[in-house]
Amino acid sequence: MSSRRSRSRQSSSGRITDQQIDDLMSKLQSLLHEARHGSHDRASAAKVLQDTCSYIRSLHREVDDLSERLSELLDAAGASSAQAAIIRSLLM
Amino acid sequence: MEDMGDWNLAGYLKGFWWEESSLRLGMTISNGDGDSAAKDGGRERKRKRRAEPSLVKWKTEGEQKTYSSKLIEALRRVRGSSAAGAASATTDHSRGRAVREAADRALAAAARGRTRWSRAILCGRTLKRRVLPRAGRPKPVGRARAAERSKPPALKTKARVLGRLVPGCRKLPLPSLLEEVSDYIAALEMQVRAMSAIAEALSAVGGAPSAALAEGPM
Repeated sequence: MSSRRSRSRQSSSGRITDQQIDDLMSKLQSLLHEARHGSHDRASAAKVLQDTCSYIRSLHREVDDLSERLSELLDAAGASSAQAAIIRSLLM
Repeated sequence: MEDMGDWNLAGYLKGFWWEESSLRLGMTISNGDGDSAAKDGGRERKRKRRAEPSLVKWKTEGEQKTYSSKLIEALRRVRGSSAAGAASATTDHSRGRAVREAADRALAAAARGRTRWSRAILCGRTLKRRVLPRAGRPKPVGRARAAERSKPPALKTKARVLGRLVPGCRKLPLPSLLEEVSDYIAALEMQVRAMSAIAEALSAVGGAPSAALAEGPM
């Protein structure tokens, strides 16, 4: 336990500072969103949280749309064609 | 119970996750062997009780194929039950919702119960989420609470919104929440990829309407 405290840099009592939290949070989220945002500077932690919320919401919407589409396709598909489609999708 | 105590997680994670996270983030996310790196970090520090969920697995083809087959089985059951039940009662939306729930359950199962969001999904579908004993989780100690107080309120509200978006993460302190969020996002992305692939395959075949799928043995 003491080695943990001695290794934390800026905190005297072993507490994590806001700066550390913000730094690591920005880094974590930017790693997730590297494909989407390119490499420009993400300034504030609030923006990062905001972007993450929007992204999760859009992912949820996409999954909902895909679910609707799949439910329609499932109803329309025949037995053998569904089998063929399933095998094909698994092999892809 | 003491070893895996959730209430220790905040301070526990803060204590070493933050120091190691910069190292581990680089390793787990950009390298292929991120999983072993996370585990090695856990073995040399005996305090580490559980391995960090690696994000790389959500990107592998194998994981996606496993998920796809689980999902297709679940979808077959959905189709069977909706055809057998009162056809008039099922609308597009209720079928879509059944598909969504099956997809989420399969996704949570793929997580192998190592993340909070996956456990919450698996429990939440059978029981109402309210029934789960939340009181069993003691509040974090003053150390974590003091740290929370110093955060600006704008950040706190946004973090709370984020916590509501991820299943089972409403009351999580920020470090744990961010970990769950990153795993959840990676899993959702895989879910989207898998469902798109299945939809593409099914729509490419097209097909005549048939009830045979419900009764025919596959």
